[in-house]
Amino acid sequence: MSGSALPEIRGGIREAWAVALGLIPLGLAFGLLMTQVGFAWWWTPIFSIVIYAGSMEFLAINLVTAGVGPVSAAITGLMVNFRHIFYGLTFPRDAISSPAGRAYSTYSLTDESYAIASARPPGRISGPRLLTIQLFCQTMWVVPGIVGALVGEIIPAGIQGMEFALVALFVVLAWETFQNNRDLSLVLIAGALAIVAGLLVPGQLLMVALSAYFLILIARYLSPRLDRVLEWRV
Amino acid sequence: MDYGLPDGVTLSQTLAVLIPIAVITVALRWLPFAFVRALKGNQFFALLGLMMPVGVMAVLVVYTLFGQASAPGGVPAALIGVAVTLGLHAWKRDSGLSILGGTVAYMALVNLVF
Repeated sequence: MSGSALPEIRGGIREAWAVALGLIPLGLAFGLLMTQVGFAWWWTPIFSIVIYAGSMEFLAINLVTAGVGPVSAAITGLMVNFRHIFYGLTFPRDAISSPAGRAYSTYSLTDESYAIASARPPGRISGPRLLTIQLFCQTMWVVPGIVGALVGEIIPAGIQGMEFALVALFVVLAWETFQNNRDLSLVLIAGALAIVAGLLVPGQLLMVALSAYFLILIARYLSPRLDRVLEWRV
Repeated sequence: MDYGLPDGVTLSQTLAVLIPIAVITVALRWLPFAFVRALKGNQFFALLGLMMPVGVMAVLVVYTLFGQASAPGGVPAALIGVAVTLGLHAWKRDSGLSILGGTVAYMALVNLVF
């Protein structure tokens, strides 16, 4: 490492600090839920390193305990994490020169690291600084997860209802994503599809509802008239 | 051998969820670097990016609510928890506070009331 890397590492941590602080409570909650559901504490870092996508990791707890198959898991992963396909279009990954660094940068391109890189003032970012931001974000997710998991192993499992954090998480995410596109028809159609799928094919709710929603979006793209009929801006 | 999994969950069942999701997630993060030109300005992808997230989250809310239906308190307790979460979020718009507040309210309901 060259002598100029140290100030860049410090700068990266400074830029990532506020966002990383926000990850701590969610990381703690994730670890706590993991051990309360019955996983050994060390599964928490495995989930967070293999999947490394916060809301998807919470959801994976449900998918694993429900015993869904690999196809269902893949479709769910595709739909839930689809937004990531846009991040790389503007993410300054070229700043990193080493292939291993670039690979890590791609793997760890989460909502948070994308948000930090997008919010910084214009001008080139250095490779070490960008990598520091991404590594720091992952550390601040994995370590609180382990702490939460260890705490969850000590407290008795008799307390019920902690898993509601997952419902609340998606309620908040639904609210926030709605602010980006205030078309009420999207919420109503998706919600209705999920309820119908849940009543007709309870074991396949996610796969059926997400696939049906995807088909409706394709139909809205192919037929602007249908899109206008359905659209309900508020 | 003990893999530290919840009762009734097998190792292959766990890997059957983790591995496909991991591969898909990394692929989604990698694709734009490899296909910048095809993806940038593509109307279909732009529309998906605009319309998919809110619908997917709505599906996930319903999915997780179905999961709570068999818990003590059932759907009514869960809907009260959702209302508390939404109310807190409309008021302060602080994600951590809304999630914590909604969960604590729900836990109080199922442990003390129902």
